[in-house]
Amino acid sequence: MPERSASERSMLESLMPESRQISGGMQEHLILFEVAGTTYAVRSEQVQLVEMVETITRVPNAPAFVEGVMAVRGQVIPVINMRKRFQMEPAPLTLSSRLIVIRISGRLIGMLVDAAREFLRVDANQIAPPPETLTGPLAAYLEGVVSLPNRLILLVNLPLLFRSDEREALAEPIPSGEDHPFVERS
Amino acid sequence: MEPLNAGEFLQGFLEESGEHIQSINRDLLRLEQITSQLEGFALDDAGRLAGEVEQEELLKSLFRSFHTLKGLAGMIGLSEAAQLSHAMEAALNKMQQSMAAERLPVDPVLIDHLFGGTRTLVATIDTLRSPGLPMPDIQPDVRLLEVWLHPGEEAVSAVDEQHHAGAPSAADAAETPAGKGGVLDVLPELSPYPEVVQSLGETEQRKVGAAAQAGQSFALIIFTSTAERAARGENVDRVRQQILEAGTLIKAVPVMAAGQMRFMFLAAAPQPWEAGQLLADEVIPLAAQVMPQVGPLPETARGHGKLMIEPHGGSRESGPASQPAVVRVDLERLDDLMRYAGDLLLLRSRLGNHLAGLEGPPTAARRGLKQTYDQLGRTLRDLRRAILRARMVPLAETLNHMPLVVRDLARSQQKEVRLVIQGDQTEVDKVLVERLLDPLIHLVRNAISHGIERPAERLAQGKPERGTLTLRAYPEGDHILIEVADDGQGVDLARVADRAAQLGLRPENGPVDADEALELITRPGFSTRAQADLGAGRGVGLDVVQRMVHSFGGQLSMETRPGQGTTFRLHLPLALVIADTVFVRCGSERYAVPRDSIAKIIEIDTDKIVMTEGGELLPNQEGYYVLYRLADLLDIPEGVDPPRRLFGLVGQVNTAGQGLKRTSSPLLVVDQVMNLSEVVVQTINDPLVAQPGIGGATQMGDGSVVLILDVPSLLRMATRRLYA
Repeated sequence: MPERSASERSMLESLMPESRQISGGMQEHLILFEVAGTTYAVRSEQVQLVEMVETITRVPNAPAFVEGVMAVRGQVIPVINMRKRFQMEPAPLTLSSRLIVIRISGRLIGMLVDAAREFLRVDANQIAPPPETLTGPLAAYLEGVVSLPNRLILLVNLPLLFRSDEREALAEPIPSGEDHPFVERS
Repeated sequence: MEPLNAGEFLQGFLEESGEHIQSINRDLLRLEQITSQLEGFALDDAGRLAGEVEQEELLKSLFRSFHTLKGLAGMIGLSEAAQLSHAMEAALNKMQQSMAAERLPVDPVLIDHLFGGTRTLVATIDTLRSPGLPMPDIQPDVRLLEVWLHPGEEAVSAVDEQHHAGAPSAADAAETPAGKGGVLDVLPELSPYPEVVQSLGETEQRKVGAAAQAGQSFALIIFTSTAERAARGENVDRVRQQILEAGTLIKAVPVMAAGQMRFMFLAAAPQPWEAGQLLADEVIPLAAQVMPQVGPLPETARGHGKLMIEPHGGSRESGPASQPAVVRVDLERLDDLMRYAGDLLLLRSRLGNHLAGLEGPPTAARRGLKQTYDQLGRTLRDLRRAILRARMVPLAETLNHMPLVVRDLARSQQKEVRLVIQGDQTEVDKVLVERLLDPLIHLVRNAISHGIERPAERLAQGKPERGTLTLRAYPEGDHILIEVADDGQGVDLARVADRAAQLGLRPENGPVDADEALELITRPGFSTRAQADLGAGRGVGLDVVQRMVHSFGGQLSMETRPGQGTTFRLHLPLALVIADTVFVRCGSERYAVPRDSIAKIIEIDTDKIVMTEGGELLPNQEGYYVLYRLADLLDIPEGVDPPRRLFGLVGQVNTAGQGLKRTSSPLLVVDQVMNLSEVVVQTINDPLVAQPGIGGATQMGDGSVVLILDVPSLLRMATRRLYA
């Protein structure tokens, strides 16, 4: 049996966090993304894949923050514009725009973000509850904050952000009563 | 829809290839950028996640672009461009595979070759743009790519130990899936672990062969690394040491699953492996089969009604020339053909309109025209049928998985099962073959777990101790039927009735028949079995099968006799996931409309539209149409060019309903009717985007999604809105 080759060894080590890090606490693996200059995080186990953004097809009468649908691995999934979801000014797509595909209680949802290129490993106790001073439409959707030197990362509560009854919960102009979604025009 | 002349065709090619070249250059630049960055933080998780995922996407996108260019160039007869695109496509394919299977990094050398090749490719295309230009020599680029694909001898020996990027061994490159099957021939039980099989290179395959010849015992050892384990000092290196103490480590395969790092070790040792001796989640012993050379299958093994257990991994293809000549064709190309056939159909119907518009007494010429027109219709039907047939593949692809499933399950449940496969050459649509695997496995598990009794029980009932499970497929009209039949105990209808009463699903305790029983047992969470077992239980399974069969547009039925067995039957339409649609444009958007839902398409004479309080009306022979503009219904932004003409789709079913006189029918107004196309229908389930009026979606060749309209519900909503 030959010795492990050097490249194999380094590969294994790179994939084996605990062999390099002696740490007592529970670890959280976070994927970071940017929306309008702020850094957010989601847990990596909730993320299916990160994709380049291709053509998104508009879906008529969907909530305003729904950019449309896209095919991901043979499935047609909704794409949420996170700028709009966080009630910020929408911005044109750029080369760094990414689609983060998450799985929440069986649903696949694409989150359209300005950028996603970082991965972070933190101790669970580094995640603090959101400060009470934080207000605005976003505050309700935060699970916690991670403070690093010179940086604040907001951990998003995905299940809350993508509740399946959110259409009803939102203040979007969705007609009530009738089962059709068409908004009366004047 | 006019026939294209050569000039337009060329123009179309130049435009489309220009777009692909642009996207290729963009992708290459980005790929180079990340690849160089990755060197810097290769050990960091950030690089692995963000960088590698993007690299894979870029490789995929590049592959697609070159693939499309190859096809385009081939159509226009630009063989140099086609050949060069092909070489780049092949190299990209290899790189993708190495990345996926062996986790090799993207080779910067390849990126250079691709940049160079693309420059030459542009030059070949430019010869069409400016006919004076000389055709560049593509050979230097093609050779560079070929050398990269099949490096020389010295490179080979280095690779075996080092797995260096950019130097895959020639043997690897030449390896067909049948070559991989080599490992499965020796270790058939490795087939549920494709990630391991695919990671085995030539060296490892040789090691497997040698160990098998030496009569060693194989095992797959699985270890999941967790923070807690690491804290106890239980890590991968310990497992590795333990394996090395007992025997030989053939390959370690790291797998990332659900945020956890899991390692799969393929190992061999002189002694049988025992779970207790290792620090592992699981130690799966693998029986080795030392086989002579696998030849072609004996003819009898293919016939109907024989137990078919084939060597895995396509050894069929390795047989001598008794096979029909086979050409592999991309599904995409068949789709193109189908599109053209659809265009022809549309042209034919226009021809019909013109014919009907001819005035004057019938002449010989007109009769001749009419006859030709009818003939054209028949030939077009044949053409469509022939194309559909080309999409069909034998069901054997799916059924060949079953012997393994049956064996594992029978063994774990201490049952004796004989598997009979009939009609595995029955052909179904390519798309379906893949999707049928899960439901069939569910049914097979169900038959073994709940149907077939243990040997002693069977003997006591006077049955042969070995149960028989029959998988049978056959066409019937435009359906195919697939049966999963066992000769076991049958479904206990009385117990189903009891259970249904218990759950409050039925009012009283009366007897149920097979149909009702099926309806009950396919409800989520319904199970008459007291104890859930490994294969099928907890009521999961049948409801899933039912749902899947429905999603294909099929039906599930069941026959059962106490003590004699149960047969589940899948009725599947042949062209199930495929719908005939008309593409329409409205503003800047396009939609697909199922052809079934359209009775006819008319061009609207806008001068004849009458404006009323109730909306826009258009008189017709029976009365009038009520106009519903799709742009208004779906809030579609106006296109760049305002439509010059308008078209109306007359719904198949009169959905006008209450309040409207019978003389009126709704008309869905669009800007343009484009082409007929058969599309694969995908459902839209997510509550965020599921909308009344939208029936589903389909994916186009370029990956974009087009929504399929549900015309009846759209018109229903529209009329309600108008007259509410």
